[in-house]
Amino acid sequence: MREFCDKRGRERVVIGACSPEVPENPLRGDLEEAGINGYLVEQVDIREQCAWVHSSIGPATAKATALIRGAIDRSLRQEPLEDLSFDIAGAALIIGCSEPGIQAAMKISEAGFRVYLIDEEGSGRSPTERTPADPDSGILAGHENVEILLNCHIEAIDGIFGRRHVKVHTAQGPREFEVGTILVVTPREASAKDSFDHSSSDNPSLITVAEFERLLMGLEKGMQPLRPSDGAPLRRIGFVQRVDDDKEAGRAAPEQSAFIALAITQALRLKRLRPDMEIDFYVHEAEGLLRTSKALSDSAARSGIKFNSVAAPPDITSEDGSTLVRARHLGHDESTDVESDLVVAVGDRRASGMASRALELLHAGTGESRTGGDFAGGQAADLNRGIFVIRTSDSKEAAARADNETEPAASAMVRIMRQQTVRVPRHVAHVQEYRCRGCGKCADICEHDAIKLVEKEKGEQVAQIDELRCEGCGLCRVACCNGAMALLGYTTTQLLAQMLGMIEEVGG
Amino acid sequence: MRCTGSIDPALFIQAFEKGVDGIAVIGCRLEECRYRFGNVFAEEKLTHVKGLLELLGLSADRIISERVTSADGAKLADRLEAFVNEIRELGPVPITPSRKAKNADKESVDKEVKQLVEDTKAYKCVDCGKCTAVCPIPKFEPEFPMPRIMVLRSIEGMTDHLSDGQDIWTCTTCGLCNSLCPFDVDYCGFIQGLRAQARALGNDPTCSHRGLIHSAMRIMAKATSIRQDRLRWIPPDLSISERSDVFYFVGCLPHFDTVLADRNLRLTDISVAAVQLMNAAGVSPHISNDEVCCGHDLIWTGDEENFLKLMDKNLKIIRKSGAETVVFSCPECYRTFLRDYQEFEGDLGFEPLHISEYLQRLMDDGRLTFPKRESATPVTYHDSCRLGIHLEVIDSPRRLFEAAGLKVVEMDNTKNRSYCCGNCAWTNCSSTTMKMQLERMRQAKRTGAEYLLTSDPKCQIHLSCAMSGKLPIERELVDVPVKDMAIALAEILKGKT
Repeated sequence: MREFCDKRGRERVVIGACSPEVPENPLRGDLEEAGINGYLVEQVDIREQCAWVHSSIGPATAKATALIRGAIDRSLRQEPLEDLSFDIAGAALIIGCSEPGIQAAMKISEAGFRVYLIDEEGSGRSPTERTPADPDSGILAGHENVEILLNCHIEAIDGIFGRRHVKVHTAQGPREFEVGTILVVTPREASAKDSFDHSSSDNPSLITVAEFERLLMGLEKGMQPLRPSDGAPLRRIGFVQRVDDDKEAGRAAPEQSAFIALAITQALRLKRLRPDMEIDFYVHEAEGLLRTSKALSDSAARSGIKFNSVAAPPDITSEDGSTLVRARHLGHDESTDVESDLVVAVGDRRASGMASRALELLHAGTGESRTGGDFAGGQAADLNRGIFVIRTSDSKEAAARADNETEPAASAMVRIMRQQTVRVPRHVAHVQEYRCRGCGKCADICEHDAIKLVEKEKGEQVAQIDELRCEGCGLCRVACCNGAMALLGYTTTQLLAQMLGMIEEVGG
Repeated sequence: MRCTGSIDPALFIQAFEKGVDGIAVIGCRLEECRYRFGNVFAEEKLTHVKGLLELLGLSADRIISERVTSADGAKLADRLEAFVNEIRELGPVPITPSRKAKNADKESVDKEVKQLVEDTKAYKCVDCGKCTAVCPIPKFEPEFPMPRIMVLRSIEGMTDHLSDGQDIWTCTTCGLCNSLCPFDVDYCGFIQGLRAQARALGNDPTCSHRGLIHSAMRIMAKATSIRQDRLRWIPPDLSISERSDVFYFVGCLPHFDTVLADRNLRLTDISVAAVQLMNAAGVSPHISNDEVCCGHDLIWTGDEENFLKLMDKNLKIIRKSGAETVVFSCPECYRTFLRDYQEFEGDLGFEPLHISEYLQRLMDDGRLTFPKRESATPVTYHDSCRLGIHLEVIDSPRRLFEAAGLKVVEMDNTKNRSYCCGNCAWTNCSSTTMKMQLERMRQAKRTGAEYLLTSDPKCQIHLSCAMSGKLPIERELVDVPVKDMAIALAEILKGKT
């Protein structure tokens, strides 16, 4: 390969091969050694895209040719880039001394890394509760690398992936340390249903968005959904926005509105499968919440989904198998009752206490919307590189999941720390300053706090990317109406060239 | 592709323009987004794209979105197979993809430019610099070549900049230079012609919304036997006629409402108001589901080929309707008919009129009257480049405002010396554009007016775009609500103030 590149002055390479696109692809490494910038190497996974999924050779070959043609056209528009590089500190922070936390601490310390195991509570609770480990219990005897800090309060977590600087306050005074990876074990989280009064949270017809998603998937597979209370067929479903009682002003809104967007999408899917289904939405503060997903709610309204702007969260009561939603509409004094077969509680509850504080400091979220998928099984999302979350709960299902997640998370943490330096592809957002109008829509859409507006000169603002925070999701470039935002390695110009190349190859 | 949320909607529309018959978007399940809400965002964008497809007469069923996990291989295969069958049933998109034309050679471009210098009387330029003094761009972008420099370069036969320079797309073609030139050089026509040459050399403009808008226009131009769905905005209480002397040309307002759905501009309300005003004067206009984009943004981005296709379609529809008068809410459509269509086609066989001119005529005939009002609301009026500077329709809107009890307080730059809203044909929008828009809004605010009235939906889109995000200056300095004149007049007619 080196000879090929040296002799003929090749700069860009397209690999059309059977190996799947994996970061450890040896060919890519060889090419980089031969002096070719890795960002100028495109790969087409012929095996996955063609050989494995098509039965007739002719069309599969035509598809392979088109894919390669697209890759060539895209490659021609790629720019050479440098990876982002992170030094990793050889210490881990584990928040939450419950069972998964202790297991992970043991595993990481056995691999030779220092572990700070912290909890906001002290020792000495009854063993039937999921207690913090009692330092005297001996369970961590022989793990000198583990330092347990109880009655602890997190002051700050600064820094970036690999070197996060943690400041905590303990009974013995303040402590500071640097960690390479973090595991957050959340205590039991309240379900979205809990915000309704106790009697209704026992109601089997009151379900969460996540539970509804499972129901919807069943429906998409052709199953008939039935009323959970008595197995009667479903005719009318209400989506009720749950309002956080401890809502901090202005904080909950973006999450709430994203949840509503998610629920509307679910309602639309349902309506598509079952056009006869009556669907009601009860939204609190509808103006502000629906603003961000106006088009979505408009299209839902067009499909016959009813939106009710309510003055307060509706009361949910159950009666003879059906569920009554009692809502007072905005601007009305009287309440109206609607009989529903199923009520979906739309909303999220943050993790509580210290775990919540840590996740907030780390700009990482948790909740029903993200079923732990981001963080579980060692697949840290790029921004939160090195941050893992395990959600515990009283339910058997969640406990089993927590068990399953602990081992892979701990292994992944060890793997990251062993690398000492982690290189991450520079697939991050990039601002073309001339085209940036400084409107801040990119910063608004960014879930990762990676974009801020800075003053370029008096009377002119421009977006600035924090490459270390950017996860490379590319939403900002869609939010920018003006093409000022690019996603390096995946620019619209490159994608367009790739797409047009493929279209042209198959003959338009 | 890293996330379905990162797919620019323009890619979908451009794919259809190039002859793709169906698109399957395959991504992660909604509640499993690695980036939190990327796929919810994607679904939202998809609803806009589907809305646009319906408008264009391509079925929204041509796009599906499948949300799967790695375990869903078999399910996905089934779904894709079913999708392919659905697309087969729908049949191919009735668009013949044009072959990528080979770039023109320098020689032919030089020849065309030489001709253009003749046609636009650019050779008369004496380098007096009046155009430079009045051009709004150099104040914010000093390196922008003055209009006369572009002219002189072309006279000298220097055409190299055409193949890659962006300046040619930065000019807003507002026409102030034209109106001040003592030797009648048609600088805007000159730029329009140069752009066609730049395009022939493979120099495409960088357009806002990634060219989605132009792509939708090209679909309208190229599609044959397609049933558009563009009349959904019409509320049942409007009076519309199957046959009428008056043809109301809606233009791209329904499309912009879909493409810019995030902004919630409700631009079709402008059309509702326009028809309400006509209805009040006893006129029930004809509105056609078959009209297409006027082609303004295509000819101003150098795409004459598709512009002509649109022109042919529109003229055929209008002539078939038998209308004598065609009324436009959008001055861009109006100018395109009055100037460009006539240039290619000669007499059109009907009279194009801007809504303000038409309403004034109805008022003069005593058919349209506004209720008497106690106090005059102070408003200011933004003369758009097309209406105020190019066509010098200046008095009609002002007479209507006066009759409706609105007091017009003029801005520093006004009438045929107006100040551009910053963008034309969606090309090369930039930080300079933003500064021009803020300058215009500052002017409006200084008048103390309660509203900034426009007669051009595009100006409204662009000016309100500047106001829709964060501002580099105090909002109080520029916050005047922007409103279309027809909406303001219809509200007064209905007794709202």
